[in-house]
Amino acid sequence: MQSISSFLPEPKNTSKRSIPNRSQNKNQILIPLEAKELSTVNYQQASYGDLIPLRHTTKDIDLTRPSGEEIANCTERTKRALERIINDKLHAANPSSIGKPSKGPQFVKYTPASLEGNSQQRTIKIVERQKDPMLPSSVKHRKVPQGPPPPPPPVLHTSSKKASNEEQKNWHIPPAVSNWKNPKGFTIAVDKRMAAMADDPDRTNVNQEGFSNLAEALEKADKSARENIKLRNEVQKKIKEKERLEQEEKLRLMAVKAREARLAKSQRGRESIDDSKLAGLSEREAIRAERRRRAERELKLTRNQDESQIAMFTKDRDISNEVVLGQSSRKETQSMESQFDSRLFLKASGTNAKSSEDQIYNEPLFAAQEVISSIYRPKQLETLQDDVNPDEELRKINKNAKFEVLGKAKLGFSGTDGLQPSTGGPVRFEKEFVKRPASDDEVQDRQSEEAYKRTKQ
Amino acid sequence: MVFSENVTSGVDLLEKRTKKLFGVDLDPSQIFADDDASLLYSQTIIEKQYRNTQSLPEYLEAEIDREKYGESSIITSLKEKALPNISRSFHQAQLVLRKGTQDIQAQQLIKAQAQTAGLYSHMEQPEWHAPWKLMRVIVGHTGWVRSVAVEPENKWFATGSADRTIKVWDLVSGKLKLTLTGHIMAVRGLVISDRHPYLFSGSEDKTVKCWDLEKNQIIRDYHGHLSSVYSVDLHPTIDIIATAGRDSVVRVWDIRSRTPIHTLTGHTSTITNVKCLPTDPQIISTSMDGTVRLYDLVAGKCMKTLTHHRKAVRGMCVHPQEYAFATASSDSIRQWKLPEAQLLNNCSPVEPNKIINTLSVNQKGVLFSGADDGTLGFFDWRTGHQFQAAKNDPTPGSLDSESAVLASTFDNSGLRLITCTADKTIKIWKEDEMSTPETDPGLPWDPTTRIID
Repeated sequence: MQSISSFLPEPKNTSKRSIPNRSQNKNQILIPLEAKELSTVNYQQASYGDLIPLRHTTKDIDLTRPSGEEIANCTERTKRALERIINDKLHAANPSSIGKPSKGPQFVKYTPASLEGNSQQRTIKIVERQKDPMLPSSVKHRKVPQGPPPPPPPVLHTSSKKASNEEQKNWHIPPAVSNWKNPKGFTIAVDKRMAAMADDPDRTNVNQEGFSNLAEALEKADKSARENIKLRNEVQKKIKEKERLEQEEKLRLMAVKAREARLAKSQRGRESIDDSKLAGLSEREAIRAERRRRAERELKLTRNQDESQIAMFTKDRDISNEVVLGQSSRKETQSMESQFDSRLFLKASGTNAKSSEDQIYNEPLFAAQEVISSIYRPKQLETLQDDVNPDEELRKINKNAKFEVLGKAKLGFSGTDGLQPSTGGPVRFEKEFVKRPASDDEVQDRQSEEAYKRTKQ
Repeated sequence: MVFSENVTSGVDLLEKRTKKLFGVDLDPSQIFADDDASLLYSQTIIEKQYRNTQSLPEYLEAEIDREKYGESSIITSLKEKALPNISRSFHQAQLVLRKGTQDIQAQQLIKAQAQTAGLYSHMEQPEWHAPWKLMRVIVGHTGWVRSVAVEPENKWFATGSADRTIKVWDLVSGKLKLTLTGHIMAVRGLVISDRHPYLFSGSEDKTVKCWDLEKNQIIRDYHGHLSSVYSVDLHPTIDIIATAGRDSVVRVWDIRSRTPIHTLTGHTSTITNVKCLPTDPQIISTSMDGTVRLYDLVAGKCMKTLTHHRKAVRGMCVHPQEYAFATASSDSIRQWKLPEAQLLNNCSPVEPNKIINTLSVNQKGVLFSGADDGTLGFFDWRTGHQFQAAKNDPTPGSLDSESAVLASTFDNSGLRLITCTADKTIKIWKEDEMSTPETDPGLPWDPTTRIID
């Protein structure tokens, strides 16, 4: 599996290797013995390629069993390793191996290095100190806690489990937030909007300082423009007023001129008419004009007085009163809002409204009772005497028409004359008059009559 | 089969056109007369009519070159008469025309043509295997038969049962030779040594026993499992056994001294199978947690974990000749190449999602799977194609629910299949000698059904 390049030193900048190396993978066991075949083939399967069957991709797959030599090698190696384990275990289990004395005394030659120089060589005997085999060991053996388990192997099959809520939540991708469309009108939090905007690569950055400067400048410009327009309008108004005044003056002058001309004309005409007649006429005319003028003046005066009076009168009144007094039209132009009579607001619904502050309840408690008693209670007899004949009274009551009879029902049915409606007992029947069938002559007469009538028509 | 309809309609169309061209009674093979004018005429017609099929896909060309249909006389005759300018596709069309829709091979060729993906182009055709049929039913156990092992000399085999006994049967006659009692619960694992006269058995009573077959006695007991032992296997070269079971660890024992050498941890659920191999990985185990683990026996640690299976892995077998093994769970049957344990192939059962209890493979490349509901599957090992589907009929008197196949093995010659079932019987199957590829073509081969999952 190894290519030539794998024997070369690694390039300087390599940091990652696609296939986990044996030395990197903690799950793997390093075998110092002659396990060459293992080093090339064993790594945990983790890639997609490991899911594809070899038969689909490779044509000739070498599936030969290991040769006898390989097997022998492996067996030898394994046997050695296992024997060591077995021996250790058996040795530990064997009681004879526990209290065995170790080797005998050792003799060591020793030459001390002294300053004086009279160094004398000595022979030292080293003997292991006797130990009581029954004595508990002075070293306390503590069990080392087990290390962390190897990492779980990569799972190469699809899960048959359904994703839990939490997992589903983790996989949830929030819907896109549009700044232009929101057809359902959801409220979108600012942070969501910002997040959505942050993702947008085309978004232009706004220079905030420049933007505020621009806004300020625009505001200033707007203000000055408005002032200018105002001034201009005022000036224009003044000019127009002036023009109007001039026009009026001109018109007035023209009118004066015209009046003078007319006066001159009339004087000229009047001169031609007879003086005696004219004297009387002019006198009457003058009186009439005088009278008319006076009337007009009076009218004007009264009108003015009325208006002022009405204004005084209607001051601080409700709108309905103003309408009645004909003063509301002025106010209508002032405010666009519709106006309501304040009494309308005070009034509760219908008849339950209180009429005064003193009234505690909306309506009297026994109002209905009063009505009922007045309707159905029999009239008190005028003369309530002890010696009244009850039969007489009953007859009197019966005789009085208690109910008004409407229309022609008062007259009764035809053919019932003289028949008193029975007040009791069974219904009386009457024998019916059966008409005799008409004779032939009579029939002929009738027909001729009808024919005559038809011709007439 | 929409596609085959298309094929037939296409063939009909071709036939009609040919008839229109050459007259009603004219044999299509006579088009190529030695006359020059007619030759030119037919050439132009063919040019016009089959312009779109001038060139075949490469793999098809290769297929034709290989003369897969060389034995067919039509092809050879056509090739003799073949014109240099006429494309080979016309030969194919002629072939279809002549042989009609009955020719399965031609249909398959056209089908392959339709599958434009090159993925299946190199995939081999499955080898033909004779169908397997029931030969013998052995009754004797009084409980579910849960394990089986064949003796190395192929004379007898042993079965372990839920009736706490191990019975030894003669392979040829099917007669009971011996009953071994000693376990106090169902015997779930059996292995017979080829280097010693020993039989090792693992049981639900948490014990592993070593039987001396010369004395027919229990001579050793391997004590240490915390729960039922479901599988036992002997190392092929070293005198150690590996046992595993419900306590989800594989224990390796020294046979002679009964010393527990290793406790191989890693699985999180019941171990269903354990197998020993002579070279690394020396121990393989399958578990109900859906993983297959390969162990380094020297270090006593898990070397590799295969997580391809989604469900509990219950079946496992090692190929007797190739360096590969197969595992089965209810979602798939997978083959693995050793020593890397790379995925070699997926087998596609006709009836998927069956709980497969046992797998066996013989030297001829027949992979057998026995399911919990009595479904038997026979696969071609190389391609993973199921060529036979059978049903394990429970013996009369037993319940339908007792049709489960619990254990199986091929004998050492690979000619007999021994299955152990929940109806307390042992069934021996053999190949049907009378069958030929013509009489029993087997289930149809469809490379598109290979799953990559």
